[in-house]
This record gives sequence, structure tokens and C-alpha cells, in this order.
Amino acid sequence: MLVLTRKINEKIIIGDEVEIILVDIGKDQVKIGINAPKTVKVHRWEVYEEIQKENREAAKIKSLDALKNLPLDIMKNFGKKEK
Amino acid sequence: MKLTTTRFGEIDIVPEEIVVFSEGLLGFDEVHRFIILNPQDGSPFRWLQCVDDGDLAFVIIEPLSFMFAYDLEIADADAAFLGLEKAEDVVLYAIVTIPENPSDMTANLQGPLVINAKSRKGRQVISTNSQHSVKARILDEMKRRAEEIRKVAESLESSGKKEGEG
Repeated sequence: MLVLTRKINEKIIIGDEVEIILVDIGKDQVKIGINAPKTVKVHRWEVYEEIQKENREAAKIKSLDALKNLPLDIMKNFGKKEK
Repeated sequence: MKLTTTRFGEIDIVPEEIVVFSEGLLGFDEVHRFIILNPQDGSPFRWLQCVDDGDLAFVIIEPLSFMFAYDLEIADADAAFLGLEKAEDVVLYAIVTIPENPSDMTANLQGPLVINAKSRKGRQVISTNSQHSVKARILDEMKRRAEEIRKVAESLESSGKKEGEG
């Protein structure tokens, strides 16, 4: 892993198009600005991780039999798209 | 085309109906081809069965079948990736998780599946709407939806009355 030291307002460039700027430093957090083409996906890592975890959890479902135990009136409340 | 699956045994699939998630799903980036199995019983739940791995399948649901509204802003990058031209071509699904107590089942609204029905390309996108939870409780959303529908019906009724009186 490359570790760089930067001061406020100093930048890093990744490839030719992704620019990262250190906007502000707080007590225990930093604010980072990212300039990237719209085709580059930028997300907080936790969100990514959480969705991955949720996908893995969802993949464990073997059948929908458990839903048969739900009260029938609940199932009836599922509707089609409202117009 | 025959496909051997863990959950449904050997099934017949139509190759033209395959949806390609060329990046896979988050955490499952090695598999790309999926088929949507529709329920026979009118249930809103469907299966997203993986074609590349017969053991892999997800329960999916259209958000609007249990929510009053689901506003997703599709990023330009995602629209370009999917080759989306018209809003009508968008099909949205949320992946469902069912814990031990099925009443606690949730839908992942933060990582919805966006499919271009025309090109049959799909992508699991990440919603930037902070209201969209990874674990949205389906039954609670349904109650909220019923309540919203009741409110709309009431307001229509009362505005109808006012017009009648005037």
C-alpha cells in the first residue's frame, strides 16, 4: 500500500482522471474532495461492504416456505404498482 | 436450454430471457448470467436464479409491490453502463433477506438491481438516497403504504365533498 502525507488543499492524482484533495482535517476525521469522471463509481467503503454482506445473507435462502407461516391478510396486502 | 439448480432441480430456460450482470453482484463478482423466475401463485416474490452457478439464487421483489413510493436516482454512469434510453425500460428489484422469523424479512433498498428490460443488462447500483436502507422491513413498509393509500383516498373523498357542497 502506498501511504502519502498531504497537507490541507494538497492533491493526489490517480490515473489521469481521478483527483483527490484534502479539504479539511478535524480532530478525528478528514474531509476529502474527489473529482472523477461520472463513469467512476465513488462510494464509502462501508456501504459497499454492507451490501456485499447483505447479498451473502440473501443467497442463503433455500425456499420461500417460511413465508407460508405469515398471516394471510399480510400477503393479500401486497399490491401491484399504483397508477 | 436446460439448467440444473439446487432449489428447483432441472429447469428449462429461454436464453433470450437471460439478464447479464457483467460485473456480477456485490460479493458475487464471478457470476454474470441470471434468469428471473416468476411465481406461479401471484406472489410478489421472484427468484433471481444464477445461470452460471445453479446453487446460487436470490429472492427479489419489486419495491413498488410493497412500498408507496421508491424514488431512485439512477446515476449517469449507471444509465450509460446499462444503455438506458427511456425510463420505461427500467425494471427495479430489491434483494430480499428472510431471517428466522419471516415477519422480519427485509429488502435491500440501498443496493437495488436496475435492469434494462430492452438490452437485458443489469447492475446492482448503490443508491445515494440516505432514506434507502440495506434492511428495509418489508412488512413495516407495507403498513406505511396502506396508511398512505388510506390518506390519499380520504383526501380525495373530502375534496370531492367540498366540490359537491360548493
